Amino acid sequence: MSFINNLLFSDRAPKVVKKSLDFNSQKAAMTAANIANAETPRYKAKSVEFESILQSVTSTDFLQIKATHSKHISPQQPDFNSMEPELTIDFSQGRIDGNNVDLDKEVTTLSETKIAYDAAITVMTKRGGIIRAAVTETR
Amino acid sequence: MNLRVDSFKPLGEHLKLPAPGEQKVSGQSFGDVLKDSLQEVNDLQINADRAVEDLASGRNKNIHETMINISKADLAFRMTLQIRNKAIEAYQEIMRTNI
Repeated sequence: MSFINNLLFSDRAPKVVKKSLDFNSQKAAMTAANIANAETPRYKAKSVEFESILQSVTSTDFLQIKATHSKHISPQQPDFNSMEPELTIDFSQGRIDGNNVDLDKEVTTLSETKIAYDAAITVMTKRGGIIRAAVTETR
Repeated sequence: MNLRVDSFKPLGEHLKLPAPGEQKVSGQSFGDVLKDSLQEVNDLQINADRAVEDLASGRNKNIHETMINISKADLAFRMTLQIRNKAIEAYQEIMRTNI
């Protein structure tokens, strides 16, 4: 399976898209939790931020240097597996019962997240189509 | 009127035609064209990847630009593939020919 993995995820772009999908689904879950707890007393709204992390990873073109020896030092590649989104909890007082969920804001965030997720899926499928064309090689 | 024979120059000199035997093909060779085209296809792939990264990281918010870039890369790649197939087909056709 690692061969297929290499085929689809050897470049940085699909890794970034995959991570963006992970983060977006976490964001959607977080927003859904906020909406679900819109009437829970003393519940504090939580939000997820990940775009700055992905931007810092994609801001430079990382060199691909071939290591021909086990002791060769390769340039620091971004570690996509250990990336975590930034979780922020809004501690403001909000309403009289201590709940500070802004329902309108949460619904907007949810639809924004959905659009971003769908776009990333489409982009991933399109990009996979190029690789699929190379593999199937239809005449 | 004094007409001299040597005032009539060969037609080739007027038309700036190269003398036979020293015809030189100007411009790019087929290899260069092929190389440039492949380079262009590769650049389109790189551009598409960059656009994908920009969209995924939220740096670029418009989806259509990314989609256009990917479509360009996709089309360029498929076209390259078909041209390669045609070239191989032609080669095989020649190989099958009985002499």
